[in-house]
Amino acid sequence: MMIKKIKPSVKQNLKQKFKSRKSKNSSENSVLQLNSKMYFCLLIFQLLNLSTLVIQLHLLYLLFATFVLALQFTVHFNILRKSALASSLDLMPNQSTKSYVIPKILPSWLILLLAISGSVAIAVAGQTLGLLLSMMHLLCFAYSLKMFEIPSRKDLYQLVVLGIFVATSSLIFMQSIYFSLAVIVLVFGNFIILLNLFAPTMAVSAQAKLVAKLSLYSVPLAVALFVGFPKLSPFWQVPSVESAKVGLSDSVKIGDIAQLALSDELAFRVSFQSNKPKHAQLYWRAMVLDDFDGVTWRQSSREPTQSAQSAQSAQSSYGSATLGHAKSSADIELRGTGLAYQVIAEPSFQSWLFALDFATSEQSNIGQRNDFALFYRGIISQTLSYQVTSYPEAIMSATLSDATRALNLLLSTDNNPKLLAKGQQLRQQYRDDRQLIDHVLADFNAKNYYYTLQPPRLNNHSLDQFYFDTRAGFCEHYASSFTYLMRAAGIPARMVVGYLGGEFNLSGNYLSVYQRNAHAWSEVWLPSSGWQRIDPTAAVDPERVERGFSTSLMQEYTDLSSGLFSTQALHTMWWYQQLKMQIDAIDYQWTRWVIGYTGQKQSRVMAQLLASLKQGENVLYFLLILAGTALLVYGYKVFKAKVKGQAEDKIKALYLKTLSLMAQHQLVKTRSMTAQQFADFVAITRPELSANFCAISNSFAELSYQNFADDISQQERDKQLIKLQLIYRQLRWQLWLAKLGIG
Amino acid sequence: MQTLVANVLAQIESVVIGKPHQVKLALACLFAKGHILIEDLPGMGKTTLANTLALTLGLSYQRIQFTSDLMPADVIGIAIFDEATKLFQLHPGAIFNQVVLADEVNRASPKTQSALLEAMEEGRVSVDGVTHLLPEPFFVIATQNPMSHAGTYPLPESQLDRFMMRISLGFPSIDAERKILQSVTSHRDAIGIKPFLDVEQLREIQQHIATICVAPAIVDYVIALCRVSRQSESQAKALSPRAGKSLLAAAKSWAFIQNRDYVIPEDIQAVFSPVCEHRLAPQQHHMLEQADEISQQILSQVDPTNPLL
Repeated sequence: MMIKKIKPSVKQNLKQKFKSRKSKNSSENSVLQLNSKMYFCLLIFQLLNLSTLVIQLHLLYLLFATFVLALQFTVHFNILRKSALASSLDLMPNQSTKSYVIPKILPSWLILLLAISGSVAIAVAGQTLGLLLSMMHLLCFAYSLKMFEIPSRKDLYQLVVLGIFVATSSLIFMQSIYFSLAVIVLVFGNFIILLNLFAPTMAVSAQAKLVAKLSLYSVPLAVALFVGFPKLSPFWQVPSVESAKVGLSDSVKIGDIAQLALSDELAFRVSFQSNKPKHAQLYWRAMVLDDFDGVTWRQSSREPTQSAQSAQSAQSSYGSATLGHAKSSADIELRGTGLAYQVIAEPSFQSWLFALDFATSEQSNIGQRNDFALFYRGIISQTLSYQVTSYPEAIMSATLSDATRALNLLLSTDNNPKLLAKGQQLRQQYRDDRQLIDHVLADFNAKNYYYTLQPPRLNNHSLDQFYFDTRAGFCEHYASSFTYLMRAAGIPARMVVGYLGGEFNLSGNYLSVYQRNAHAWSEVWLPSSGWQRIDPTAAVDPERVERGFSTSLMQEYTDLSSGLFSTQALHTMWWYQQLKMQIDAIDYQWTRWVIGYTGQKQSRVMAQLLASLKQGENVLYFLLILAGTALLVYGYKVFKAKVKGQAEDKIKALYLKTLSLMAQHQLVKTRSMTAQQFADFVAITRPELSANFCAISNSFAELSYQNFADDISQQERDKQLIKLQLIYRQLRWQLWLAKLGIG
Repeated sequence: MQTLVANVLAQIESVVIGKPHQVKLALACLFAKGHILIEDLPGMGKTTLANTLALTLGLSYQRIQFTSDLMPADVIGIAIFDEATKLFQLHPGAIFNQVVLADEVNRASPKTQSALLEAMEEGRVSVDGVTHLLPEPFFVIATQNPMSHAGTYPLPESQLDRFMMRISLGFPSIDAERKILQSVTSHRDAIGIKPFLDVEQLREIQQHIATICVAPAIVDYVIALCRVSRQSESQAKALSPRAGKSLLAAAKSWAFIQNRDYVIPEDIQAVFSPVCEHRLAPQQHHMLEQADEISQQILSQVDPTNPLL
């Protein structure tokens, strides 16, 4: 009786609801009102989102964006002030608090004009900016202009999502862990804004909680995508910002490296697979400079094409760096055991790599020059990690081709006549190359040469002046004059630029090499032992080589840097050093595992996974792990059910599941129907389902409403549940058959 | 016990023709120790229902016709100086009966109305500082004309709340009307109506109803209904916890009349409108067709199988 009574009114209500929803939607589309707090939040977040890209964006655009934001701020601030004034004067007593329609600040034709002219400007500037940056500018430009056009709620969502996109795209340029964290926090804030648009009445803390919860849910998916999703190489070229970078360059004048000595910037990091070699062994070769014009050392552009081995050497000039290649090459005589390590280079926007002599690498994107320096086939615009094996005892170039010999004896004679004469004199004095070298080094040690970051100025970078008069210089002074001297004496010699040593991080078990570790040394060729590393700096200041910095230099260093910033007291504190080390270690792990996880590495990981899958034993392990996880998940669910669940809950869950199943098959229970009413309804509309459905429905109703708590044991209830689950499956089967037209 | 109830129902239905649902509601209200307000146009059988109810239950019964000049003393009684004892003696008013029919309660002045309603709530009256207990059981059946009729003082919301249920009888169906017109009996000469219950049996029934099982799912359902009423955007008033309590009590009583010893959602749905409509929309509707619109709206918004979702 009651059913009949209720039904028409239910229908009416549904209709009314539908109507009210419709009207709500239309009101949403027509006028969008937000309170001023929300507007200011939007503006502040736009400012923050854009600020992540501030280094990359063009100055003109930045001016434009600042102007837009300032205009918006003033407009909204004025509205706020007016409304405050009005409410204090009681002009608008029933004004809903500070909520208003977005004012039209600029006429739409002006916005259109701005959009078109801005796009054209970006297109024109695109020639110099490059594809990526011009696209970035277009995105930011749209983001700025969108502020003026928010007629409906939909546009507001667009604005926020655009902001999220802008903020995250800054990660293309910077990937350090702290910057990434900052961006994540910013995106989090944007999410809260977005949520606030949907649920404005919710408290901010509750919103934050919800966003955090949802974000946590998405973490496993994000990790899975990060590990498994194919990493495509970007179709854009990240623009080089060379000017902003300090580091080695491919030509060295005297005084260049001393400038680096003050830089705390990271050059690269190394993790050794076995024990770390001694500090004095850590000569990281970056490049070899063998062309000296009297002032500047450069890499020789001339290749020894005239030699008998021309074909081979031309090949090996940019040859493969693999171990196999090194073995087959006549240039190299491998000796001793290899030392394996991984290098993670910071972006240098150059192509040379850092490795200990003699380095081999199996990676296809790494090559080796015929001066034994490794290079990357491309520009290192993002953090690059590569695997190297070095053979410190190998003999490099046991025989020297005539062309190479000639190249490494070449002198520009006009600049440093005294040094040239000195070299020739030494040659006459010593017949033996070794003795000659020892004599020069002994001179450096004995004759009042000293090592300093602030060498006196030299006229026209004269080596003569340094060697005979000032006698004070940095590593490149010594390396340069030594190499010159060797060439003058007829010993093939060249300058090598790279890094010496590095700082070992105990907590992370890796070596950090900073720009201040930049170093220059010499290489001389001796018959039978090939190219030999000679570091004249070691003769002048042995501490520099053995420990990284001598005490006198440290003093000088602190004096110099305290002029720049006064955190000097901090630097010496033990805990500050520890903290710095820890922070650096975190950054290292981030760089190694997250940023270093490149497409190549990914394919390697996947290949390993697949390969291990192919082997039967591993399949077993894999299945075991899978089963273990499944068991754990199941156990957790059972545990949770035990804690939370009585039989009522289980059967209720089953009933609700059945309801949604029925709903999928057009048997919808209107909200207010009770279990009995719906069972009756099913019995009328689909009598063939009635028996099964009623079994579930009645069990649910009995258990929910009758006082059986003490009458039935837990076991009986479990039995009942199992029975009902069977019935549920039957019902599902029946429904499917009916749908297919069979049943 | 059940046969007894069936007999009572059969007898009342033989007099109040064609309104079995309303009769059951009224009986349920009585069993749940609540008072009832019957709102309808004149001549719809309000008084007949009240009269029959009282007589069938075998309770002492008095009718008060409320008029605009009715004084509180007429309802409650008055203390009169007794010459013999030299003391003021209460001369009890009509309220000192087990069943009181307050006819056309909204025609009296608010002062008189509140005198009655206070007595209903407290179960006792005070005259000149002396408190007198009202009889047990105490059951008020009030009738009321729709508010649009001239010369009425609408009951305030706080006093409407004292009634567990408000029902209206409505026009009878064709068959029922035929029967009414052909029958010779009227409520004035209720011949053949005999009491089926005594006070002891009524008390027993009331005790039994208290033991009827209300499952947590039912409590959840009531809570959900109350919550929906508080969130609703319409002009409706929110349901108080007292309303929820009344709802549960009425549902238990209804379950008993349906011969069940546990409450199911259908019981709640059956009594929801009479129990809650006058609390939700005290003065809103006069037309009987849309009488229970708001309560139906609320009912339609809650899923009884999964109420607190």
